[in-house]
Amino acid sequence: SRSFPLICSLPTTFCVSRSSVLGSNSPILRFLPKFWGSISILDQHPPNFTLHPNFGVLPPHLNVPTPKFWGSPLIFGVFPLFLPYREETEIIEGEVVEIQIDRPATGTGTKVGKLTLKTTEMETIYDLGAKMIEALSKEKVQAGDVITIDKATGKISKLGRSFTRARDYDAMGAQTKFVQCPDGELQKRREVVHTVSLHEIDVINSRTQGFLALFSGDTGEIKPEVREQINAKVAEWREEGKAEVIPGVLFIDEVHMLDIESFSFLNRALESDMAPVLIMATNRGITRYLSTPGQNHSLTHLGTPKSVVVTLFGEKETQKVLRIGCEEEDVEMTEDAYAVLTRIGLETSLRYAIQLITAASLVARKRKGAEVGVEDIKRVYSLFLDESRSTQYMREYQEAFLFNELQGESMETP
Amino acid sequence: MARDPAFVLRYLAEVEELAKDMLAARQQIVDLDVKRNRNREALRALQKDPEPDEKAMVCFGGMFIELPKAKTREMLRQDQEELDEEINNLRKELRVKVNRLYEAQGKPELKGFNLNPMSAEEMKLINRILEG
Repeated sequence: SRSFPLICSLPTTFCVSRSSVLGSNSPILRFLPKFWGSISILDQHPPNFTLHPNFGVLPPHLNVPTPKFWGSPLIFGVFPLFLPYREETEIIEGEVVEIQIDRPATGTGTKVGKLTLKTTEMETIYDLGAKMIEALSKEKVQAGDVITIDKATGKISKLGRSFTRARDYDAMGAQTKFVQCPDGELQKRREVVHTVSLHEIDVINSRTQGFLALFSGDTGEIKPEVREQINAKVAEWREEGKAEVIPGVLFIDEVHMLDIESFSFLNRALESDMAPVLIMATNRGITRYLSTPGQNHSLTHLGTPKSVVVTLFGEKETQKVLRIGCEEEDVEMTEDAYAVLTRIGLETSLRYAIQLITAASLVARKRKGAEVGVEDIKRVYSLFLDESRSTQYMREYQEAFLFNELQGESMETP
Repeated sequence: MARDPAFVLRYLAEVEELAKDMLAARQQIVDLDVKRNRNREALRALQKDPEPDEKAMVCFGGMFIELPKAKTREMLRQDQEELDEEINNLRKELRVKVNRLYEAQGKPELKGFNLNPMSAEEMKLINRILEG
């Protein structure tokens, strides 16, 4: 399945919007494959990511991540790629019937012992060597415990005490866990699927700053040789069916803050067959690339052929976001006021409408009203200008401002 | 919405059969493991035996036969290998059987990653890498 980028247009700086994008009833969910657990979110606030793609080749000029603007040191910190692999271990699982350890009379020398284990179906005796005896006494295994022994490593773990022995003692620790006596065969096969992200493998392997680099996030660039080695190994495992690569979901907030180099990198990275599902969030339609004045086609080249543009906010969604906003601000509002505010949100901008909530609640409080009503909304609407009205205002009174003689450089809103 | 009783009967029979098949495989694994553990105990007993050159009484299906101990040990070892293999095969089949049963019952298939297991050495390697 090919992954595809999504561009959503929504006001991303408003915190509610992020949860509504990634929340359980989000419209985006319908587009996403099932591996919903693996999301990386890149946020531009603060811009603290290091440049490091997990797959795909960097354009050479990207190798030095020099910050040109505050937001542009781009940042493909983590292309989320996950590598599940399966481990099969033989374990012996059973309830301890009896442990018998013979100490030599002299006090020194090798101990020998016997361990009797049972399941609901069978019972058997194991001879114990010195090492096993030590491990058993370290775990304080007694008769009545349910234990597992890893056959390959000899590691013993205690699962709990058997229910049949529940009445052996009256006083016991609160942490004593009672479990059923295991059923079936004694020697079982256990399959464990581990997941590691490729980024982790890379980082540990590169060891520029040791293992701790993984946690500090301060990884720097991964050397091409390391990457090649890892890619080769991973490819081999994939071939043998031993591991799978799951592209995750990469969510880039405020995508219009990225510069042209970032987009060229993104564009290339999306060609890789290990590309993640990319969700880009922005509240701009067409805007310029940062660092390329004069070119007005930023998101469109990613936007047209390869992506699905999802506009998240229609009337219903707008009202929902406003309701959540009111809840956050502890503002009560009448249904009529909601309707008016939703209209405002649709016709001007959602962000403006959200900002009116607090202002309107203050007006309502001043007139000692319990709820925000339509008249409060009207009042703040007349007091605070939205984007288009303030532009219009500026145009109308252009001559009255300083520097009005600068012709052709009329006020432009982003 | 009355269904043809013959159809229902046939369907139920099919599900029953699949379920029985699966349970039989599961029981067989347990039985074989019992045998495996008994063999293991016997091997240990032979190994600890102070007089390895004598003969041992071996029980074949209710009849005791006296056999040289070296021979007995060899037989047991061979038996163990066969048992291991058989249990492995049964486990592999079990997965298929469970899925077939689920399909017949209209339940969703058991989902896994369908991965082949890593070998022991590879696991050791991975663990060493991940532990730094």
